[in-house]
Amino acid sequence: MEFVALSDPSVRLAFWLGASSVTITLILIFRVVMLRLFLLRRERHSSQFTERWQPPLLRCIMGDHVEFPTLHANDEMDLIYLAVHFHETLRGDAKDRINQALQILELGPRLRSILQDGSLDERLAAATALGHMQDHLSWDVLKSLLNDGSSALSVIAARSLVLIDAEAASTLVIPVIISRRDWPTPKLVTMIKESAVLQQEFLQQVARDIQHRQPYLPRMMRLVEAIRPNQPLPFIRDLLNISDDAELISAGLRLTRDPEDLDLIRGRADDRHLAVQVQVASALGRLGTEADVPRLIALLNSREWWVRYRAAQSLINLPFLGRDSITQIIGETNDPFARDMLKQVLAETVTP
Amino acid sequence: MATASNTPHARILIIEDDPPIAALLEFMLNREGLQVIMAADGNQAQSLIATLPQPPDLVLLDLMLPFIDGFELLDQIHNNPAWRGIPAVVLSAKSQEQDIVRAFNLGAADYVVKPFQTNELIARIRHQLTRRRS
Amino acid sequence: MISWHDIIIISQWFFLIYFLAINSCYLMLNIFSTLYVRSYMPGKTLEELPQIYSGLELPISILVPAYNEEKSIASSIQSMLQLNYPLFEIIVINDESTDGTLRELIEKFSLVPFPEAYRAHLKTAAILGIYCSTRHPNLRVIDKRNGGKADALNAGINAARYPLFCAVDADSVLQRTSLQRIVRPFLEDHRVVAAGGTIRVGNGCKISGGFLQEIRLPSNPLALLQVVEYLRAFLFGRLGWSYIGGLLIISGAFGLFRKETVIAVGGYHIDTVGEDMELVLRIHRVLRKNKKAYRMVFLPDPVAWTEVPEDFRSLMNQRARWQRGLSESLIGNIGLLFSRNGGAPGWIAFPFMILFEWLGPVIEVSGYILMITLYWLGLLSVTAFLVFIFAAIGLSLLASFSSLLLEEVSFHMYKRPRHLALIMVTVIIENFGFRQLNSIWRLYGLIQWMVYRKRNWGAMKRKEHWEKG
Repeated sequence: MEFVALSDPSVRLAFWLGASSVTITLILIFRVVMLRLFLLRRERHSSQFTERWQPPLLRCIMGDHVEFPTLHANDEMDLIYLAVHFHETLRGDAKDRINQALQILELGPRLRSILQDGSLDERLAAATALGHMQDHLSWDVLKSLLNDGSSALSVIAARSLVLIDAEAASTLVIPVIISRRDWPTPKLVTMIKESAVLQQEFLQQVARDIQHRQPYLPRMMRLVEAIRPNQPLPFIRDLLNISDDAELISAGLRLTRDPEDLDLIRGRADDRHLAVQVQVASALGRLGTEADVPRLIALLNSREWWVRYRAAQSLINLPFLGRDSITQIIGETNDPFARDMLKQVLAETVTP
Repeated sequence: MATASNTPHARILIIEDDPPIAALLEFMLNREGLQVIMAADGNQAQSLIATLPQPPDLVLLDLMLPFIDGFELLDQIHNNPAWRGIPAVVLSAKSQEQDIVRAFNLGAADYVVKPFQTNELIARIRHQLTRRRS
Repeated sequence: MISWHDIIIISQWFFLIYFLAINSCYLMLNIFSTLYVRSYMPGKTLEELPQIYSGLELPISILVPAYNEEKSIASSIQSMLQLNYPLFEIIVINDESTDGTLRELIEKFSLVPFPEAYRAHLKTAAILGIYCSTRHPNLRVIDKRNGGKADALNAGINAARYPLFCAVDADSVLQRTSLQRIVRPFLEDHRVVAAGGTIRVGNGCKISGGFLQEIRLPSNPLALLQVVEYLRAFLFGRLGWSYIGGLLIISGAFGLFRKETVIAVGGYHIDTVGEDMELVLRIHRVLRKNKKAYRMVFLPDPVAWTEVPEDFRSLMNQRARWQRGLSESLIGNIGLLFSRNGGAPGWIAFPFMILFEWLGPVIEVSGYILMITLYWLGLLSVTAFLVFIFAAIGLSLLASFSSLLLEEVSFHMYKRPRHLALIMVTVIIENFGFRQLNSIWRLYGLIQWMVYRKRNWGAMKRKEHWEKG
């Protein structure tokens, strides 16, 4: 019998396989070590940076006159990150003074070039800083970034445009809000809430979209709900009048704040979608009158847990309905599910 | 009437986990002639509440903190006999109604939303200090 | 006439090609993970900036099944109550513990019986009572007849109020931000039905008040070996799969699900030891069959730290059980394999699972046996023997170090250089004994599965549902 030896093709293949993976592994180990060294160096550098730059920047923010040290090229990004950090936390005079500091240090042109050529992280920071600085010179670049492949960068560009000139930005940004479904909702909501102008324009857009029954309405309504506008929304009435979509109606019902909408809400009490009934139960709890008590009791007999739960909550929280009336309802109802639910919600309201 | 000059040695406990912001607050209040004690997370704050021989005159705290959050700390301050009654000013990025209500229910004296204005914050802190003295 | 020599040559080629195939797959997964991390990590630095919170987060029900946890349950729940999340509830399900778990909960959280209008979407063992904490309105406890972990989770799903539920092991250590992170995919894309995050080894870490204070390495060598294993499994295994939409596992230690979807597919199955994996596979199978658009996402962010076994016996039992769970899950959902609308899960991930994860131990162990036998019989030269071992170890080193590199570019959790060095040494050492041992344990699990499959062993299994891991 022969020996399986090194000359055998399978053994040779195995050898090369092993050799090449060990070589690549060595390269990887080298990379890991280099990365770690780089990280340690960067940490050291950033603590030196903080020591040198934080005190003058803090004094500047508080309005003291300061002479800044010379800005080395390798401190630039750290300074930008630090400035953005303060930008996001402060407003008013303090924020203006950060911008003054950035002007004195002549970072404007540098930021504009980073916005175009930096790494993604650097561009994100530059875009944010330029927005807070209300730098009109970067308007066109920011505008072109609205269509950038990176959702993070494009949404930040949008926000910076709004910070620079909310009115002009609204007409540019709103169509992109509609078309770019990749924009992370939390960022989008923050952006809209931050600017009163954009928020008004956005709500008007939603009102138009309702008129035209745009297919993307559900997403817009989710945004409206997340924004929680602190103002009457007349378009809700239109939405409740014309829409047949359970999701849209539910969203509309959740947004009702006006007693004048009561009839529209009542009209949906028998909706075939249980999800809509849940919202009717909640809305009646907010706006309902004594005339709605029988309606809520009827909803309390629903086969859906959430309808019963919301109806019970609404009944118990109605300001004009005392505990006695609730006890009376419990006594009068024949449906054990409705009774259990009222008892549960009562227990919930009693325990803190 | 008590004025700012009546509280030269007021001690403020700052509970803030974000280093640049903590540095800013420390600098800002030092500049106002106030004495500052820093805590960088909920645990540090908790042990200060338990061990400080004399409670500070005011607590300035963030809500989102590592390990123990600001709400829990407000509760601890409220339930500590030596600390009860010390004004706690919340400085937080949380701007929702429910959070603000919850903070006040837990005994917060004031609530400032981030992004904030430095002079406004100083004025609010001064106001709490003078109220306490008078 | 086929000679002995031919058989040897053929089998050698078979094993070689198998090793080559499995490692090319790993390499591909690794590339996908790198791409994923690349697209995921930028913006992280900006993510750390102070943010104005939108309050858009979806409410979450946290389900904590518990069986004989009297020692740790109170501190676990205390820490979960501290999670940084705007709206959540905690539902502890006591699966008829024989110790004082329920008493402990009642005392520590001032529980009172609560007249809950309980809905039975999913059938479970009988509910004995529902309690609510007077101090924490968002904490409820369900006391029920024993039915195993899956049954307890189903009862939790029935009682959950919110659209998302998070299944958490009672002994998982979470980060305050865990929920905030894991919910993100649901916010960004409402087709998402499930999300998992990275689970790491908690042994050796400094934990206080139920939260992780400092990440350290365990001193127990067996736990240290598992640190490396978990790094590899999560950082590039699941990450890579998630990238191509073929994620088949979401760990039971911490996973977020859309309740509606889970109820629609029938909840957790109570007759498997791998209920977490079985559920994920079933969601894939059912949604694919019904042509529903959905996504399952894996987040590289570490969200939970779990205590791993530190002695051989428990580790062996755990691995054998995992392999049985895998067998049951794969066979139970075999319909997904090459199904018409199977997509990445049915056409790529499922075959991979069968070939490399399920049958892997058989092939690996027989490969080792063959090598050793041939060597003993003098049919294989020392050089050839060493070359094969060299290739096997080289390839596995490559896989481990690439995940270590990924860890370094993304999270570099192990901050001290000494820890990094220790991990590197462990990566090398695990190839000499531990990985082989692991294959043998998994093979043992596979054999158990085949032997016990036909027998009725309900009682034995029920107890096993509650074994850790």
